[in-house]
Amino acid sequence: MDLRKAIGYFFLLLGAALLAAGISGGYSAPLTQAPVNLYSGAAMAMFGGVMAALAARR
Amino acid sequence: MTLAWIDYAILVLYFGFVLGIGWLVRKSVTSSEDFLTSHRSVPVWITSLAFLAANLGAQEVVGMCASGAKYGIMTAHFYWIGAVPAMLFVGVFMMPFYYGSRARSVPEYLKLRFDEKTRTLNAVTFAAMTVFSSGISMYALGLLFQLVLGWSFTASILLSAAIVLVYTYLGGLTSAIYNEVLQFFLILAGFAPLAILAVTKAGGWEGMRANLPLNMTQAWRHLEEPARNPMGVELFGLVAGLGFVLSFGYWCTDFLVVQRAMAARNMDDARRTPVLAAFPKMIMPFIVIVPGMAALALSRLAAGYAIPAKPDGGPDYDQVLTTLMAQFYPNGMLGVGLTALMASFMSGMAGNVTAFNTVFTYDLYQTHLKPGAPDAHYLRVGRLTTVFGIALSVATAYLASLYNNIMDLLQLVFGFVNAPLFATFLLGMFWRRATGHGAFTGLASGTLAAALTHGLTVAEGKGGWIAPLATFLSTMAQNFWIAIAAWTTCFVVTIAVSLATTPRSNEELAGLVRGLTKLPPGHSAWWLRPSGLAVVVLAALLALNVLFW
Repeated sequence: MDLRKAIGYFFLLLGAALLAAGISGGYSAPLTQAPVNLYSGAAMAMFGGVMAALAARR
Repeated sequence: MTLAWIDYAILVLYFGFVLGIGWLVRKSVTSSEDFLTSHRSVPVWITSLAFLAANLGAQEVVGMCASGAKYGIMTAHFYWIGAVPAMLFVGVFMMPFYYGSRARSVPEYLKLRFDEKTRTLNAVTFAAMTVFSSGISMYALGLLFQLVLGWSFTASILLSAAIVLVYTYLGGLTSAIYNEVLQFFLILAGFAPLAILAVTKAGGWEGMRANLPLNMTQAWRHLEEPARNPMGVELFGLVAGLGFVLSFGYWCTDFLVVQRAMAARNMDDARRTPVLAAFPKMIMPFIVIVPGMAALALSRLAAGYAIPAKPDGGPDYDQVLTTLMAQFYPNGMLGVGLTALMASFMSGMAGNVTAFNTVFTYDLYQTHLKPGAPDAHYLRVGRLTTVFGIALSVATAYLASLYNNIMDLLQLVFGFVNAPLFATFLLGMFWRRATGHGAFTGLASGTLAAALTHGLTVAEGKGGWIAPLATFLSTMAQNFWIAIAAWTTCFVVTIAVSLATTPRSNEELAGLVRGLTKLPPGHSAWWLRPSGLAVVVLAALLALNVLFW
């Protein structure tokens, strides 16, 4: 199995879940106003995309 | 801390992927070597990250964040001088003998280089140690989840143990290693945002410096005497005890980490594994230690965060990481953070279990109980040992919850056993005159010297059970000096006994000792050679230390 594919899909799904939570704006944290879910979700989805693309290129 | 459905969904997604990786990898397991050693087939980027992640257990992550709040940037010494130089040494100088000897485990190398009794001594202590450390780590995780989330202690440890069992049972070492890489990235994803948020809230590095004492933001300047720094250690104890004996003793001889490098495809990759792992290792303090420092700065700033207190009123540093998450992570990211904590626990536990089953199957069972059986038999034993090892870890976790003192005692005794090990390997690999009798006697005397040093010194009320002849300011300083005494005794006794006993012939030692081992030709480009990469790592390490001098 190609591990990059598994890691890629995992972070794509994780990133999508966080992005959805971030866009809905339903959750907040006591000590920060920053859109944590949105930024983290975008970074994770991007990382997942890169890993999945690397796996697909071969 | 209250979790929402999205946090649980993230946890379930993670469980699904680790089990799925185990399921997919199971097809590649047809022999005991596939199961226990990955048949030397894993690509180098995977072995490198697994080398790092197998050591990155939950206790390490939670403990390092706690130490960041307690000791400040000096905690980074556990990474910078306490890990990186030893990782470079094992890759550049020692891996040719581990990998080149075709030993399947570190104890088996001792058998090839010295004799059966030295191997068995190392195998028995290592096997016992891995099971108990995994149990102690499981206990810590169960307790933390009980405290923070109100989860049942039994449910947390049984669920996490069951998942590790399924994926290691299915795919053996390859499954553990593959999952360790996923877990490594998840640990980064779960903790790095916390570091950014907490440090930003504390006013950046400058803001933290303004609110923390100087000896918590400078790593080297307060080491002239123990009373001047929060760790209560001095320069020689730190460099010789941690930077040399303990660090080299762990990273260069512990099969848990060395096993990852031994799973690489070829000698060059095996040597590059720890060297490449040193790059992320160097920056881990910014992810696990700096948030702890930011927590302390925030509590001094009265910015809405306070270090949690124990029932007796003292600071409870072990809860710093989880309370920071509760303050800075909204649901969603909170789920990622807790899943990362679970992942770090699982990577540490799978590391222990896969090292345990290899050493038990090859070094104890095949050697002493049933030699000469067909390979399918050892594959079955390897799988059963996985179940047995995890069951023992669970039992240890329960034992720890009932008798806390027994665990303290076990950790102390294992410390005694581990401290002299590096002297044995150093002489074994670099001095062809070292003999099996020398190695065995050296190890036994080193362990005895460690126990004696503990019995003759006191620190924070610990030790001094023979006669309290000297006092240390902290148990950390005491541990460093115990290690120095053990290493020196083992080194001297091994040399003395070796000189009085008959060495093995040069022919028998070919491939096991420097000077009698031919290395295959490596890469022509210097930056692809283990030594070239090591120089780059050393330069970066030096720069980091100067920056935080």
